[in-house]
Amino acid sequence: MDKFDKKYTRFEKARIIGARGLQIAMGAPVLISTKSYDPIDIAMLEFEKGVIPITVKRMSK
Amino acid sequence: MRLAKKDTVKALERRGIDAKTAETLCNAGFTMGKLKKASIEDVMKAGISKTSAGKVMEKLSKIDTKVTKTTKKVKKEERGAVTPLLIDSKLKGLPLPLSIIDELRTYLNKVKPTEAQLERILQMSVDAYERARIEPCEAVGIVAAQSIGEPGTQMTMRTFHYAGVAEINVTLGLPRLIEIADARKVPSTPIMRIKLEPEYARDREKARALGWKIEETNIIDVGSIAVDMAKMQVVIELNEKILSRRNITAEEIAKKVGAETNLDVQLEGLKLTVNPGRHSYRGLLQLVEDVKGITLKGVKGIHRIIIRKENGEYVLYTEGSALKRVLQFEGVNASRTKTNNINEIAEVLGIEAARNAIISEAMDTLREQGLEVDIRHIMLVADMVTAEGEVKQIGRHGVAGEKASVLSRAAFEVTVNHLLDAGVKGHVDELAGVTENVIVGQPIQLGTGDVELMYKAKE
Amino acid sequence: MYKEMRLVDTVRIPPGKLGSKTEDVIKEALEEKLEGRVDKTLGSIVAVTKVVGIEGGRILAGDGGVYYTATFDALVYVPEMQGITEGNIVEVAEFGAFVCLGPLDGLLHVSQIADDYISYDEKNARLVGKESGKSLAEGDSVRARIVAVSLNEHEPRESKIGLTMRQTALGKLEWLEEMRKKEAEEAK
Repeated sequence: MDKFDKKYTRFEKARIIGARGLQIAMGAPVLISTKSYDPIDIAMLEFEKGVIPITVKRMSK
Repeated sequence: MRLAKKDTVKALERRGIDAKTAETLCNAGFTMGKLKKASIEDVMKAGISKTSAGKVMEKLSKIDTKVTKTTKKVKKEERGAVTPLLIDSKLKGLPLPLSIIDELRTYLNKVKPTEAQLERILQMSVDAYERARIEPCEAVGIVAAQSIGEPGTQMTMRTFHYAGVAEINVTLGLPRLIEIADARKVPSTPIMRIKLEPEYARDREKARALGWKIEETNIIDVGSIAVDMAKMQVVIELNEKILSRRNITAEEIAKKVGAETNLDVQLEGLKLTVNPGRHSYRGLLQLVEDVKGITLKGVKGIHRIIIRKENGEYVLYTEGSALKRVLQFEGVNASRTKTNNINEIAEVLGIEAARNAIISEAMDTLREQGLEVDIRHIMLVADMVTAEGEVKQIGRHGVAGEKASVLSRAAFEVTVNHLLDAGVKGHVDELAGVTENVIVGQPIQLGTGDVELMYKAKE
Repeated sequence: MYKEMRLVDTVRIPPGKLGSKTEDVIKEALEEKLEGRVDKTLGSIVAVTKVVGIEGGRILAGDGGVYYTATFDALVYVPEMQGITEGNIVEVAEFGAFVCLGPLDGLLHVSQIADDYISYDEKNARLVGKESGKSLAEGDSVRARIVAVSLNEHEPRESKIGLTMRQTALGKLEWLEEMRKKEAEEAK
């Protein structure tokens, strides 16, 4: 488990940015200051800064 | 000559000597090698002032000192090489599989790096491993299927090929690959490669003798069978040459035939007469067939043996396969002998051996056609096929047919049967797999679909 | 009967509300979702009083909302069979009177008002007993027994609760008072 913690897989990254972008598009408050109006751009910026309040639940089936 | 001069000039210029001086030196017949050995006086003789001659020498020697410096450094570092103990402790905490750690340990103990080098080697190893590793949620099955399927389209449809071993007939190409995937009980052309113990492997005669011992010998191989209608007898004429080559005597054959048929057998020189006792024409013909089928010697199923010399050792190739019996012969190297009958390997050596056999057989089949497929794709297939302790086929009667999900099975083949059966028995589909979720139109458990997100509000 | 219950439910928090305090948002969402709702097994949910625990926060594919599983306390009105209730008459019709039981109204059918022939007095909008002269009009307080419950989850207004007053100690509160006085006199 620990091994994976440091990094997100490309699928997880896509999901996080996608979900956050949708939230922003639907009116969620933005957590950074930016001039951008594109929800996906904003979500990506938030992801880079690590402020997205979303975590990945990893199941140990 | 002129060209060589030009090169020297260029080489000198590269070292920071001005073009004019360089040309004068070259005209005086100096080459790089000569210059390095020359003293200031020698250079001055070429008509160059003392100062510039000194500069030339300085420039040339500077490079030399640099070279010696680095070599010294290496030597110093060699003295500071890390101990095996340190290597061990560093290796312990690495997030690498055991086999790679073992490989690294052997390598590092051989090259004896410095601590800094060791750190770098380990870091690069971990990075390379991370890069090679598949990410969680990746659709490995699909990728494997495509990676094996695409080269498959380029394979020959031609079944037979007289490959490698001269006269032996081997199924290769696509038919062989299909055979492996279908987990046929017996391949269409079973062959074995029998490696021998050193003592036999170096001696052609010993290898040949062992070959005769293993090869199945029937009556027809050593003589001809005829029916004497007048006397109602079966007459076998033995060939003396073949008998001696196969190291078998007429008496032995007579005894064996007698024991197998339970009939009176008479031997006159090389003529063998079997008297059936009953006087029926059909019985007589049946007897001929029975006699033909008697195995006089060797292993049943090994029809032909060919001896080849490979990398300085004699190797036996067989047509037909009987691993269990062959391994018991003295002189056979059991750990290096193999067969292309995967089910036989599973029976004799176990499922892990069968898994390895599937991998190597599939890889060899593809490679023989000039196709390179990453071994991990094939390993995945081999794992799926052998995971439950027996070699299963990929199709309807194996992996695909035993899936837990009704919808998944119905999507593959014989749809109605599966649905009807499930309906009658009241089966429940948990919608845990990929196919089922595609059918019902839900996100599938792969890639982004397998990521579960949680919102964690910051308070 | 009113009951306080501890319930668990999943609520969707729309993205627009994600900035505020989670507990408040969840309570709000629960109130919006559940208050006024009728459930066949629970009854009619009157109010969400307190959020006790919050779990989850799942984000589903294709939806910007966040789904929480919340444990909360709620005030629930349960119309129990054979239960005695009191209430005011809110409407009088030809076939009977509607009694307000709180979140729901119960129907007191003409045949269930008293051991008498009851007729509808259209002019005064009241129900009158032929022999006893007892009358029932809007605003009267009554005590009745619940004898039929049929809750409709999808249309809470269509839920039907049947009442009766044709039993001892049931009826309009004034009638009961009269009865008690009469009995006291007789005892003397």
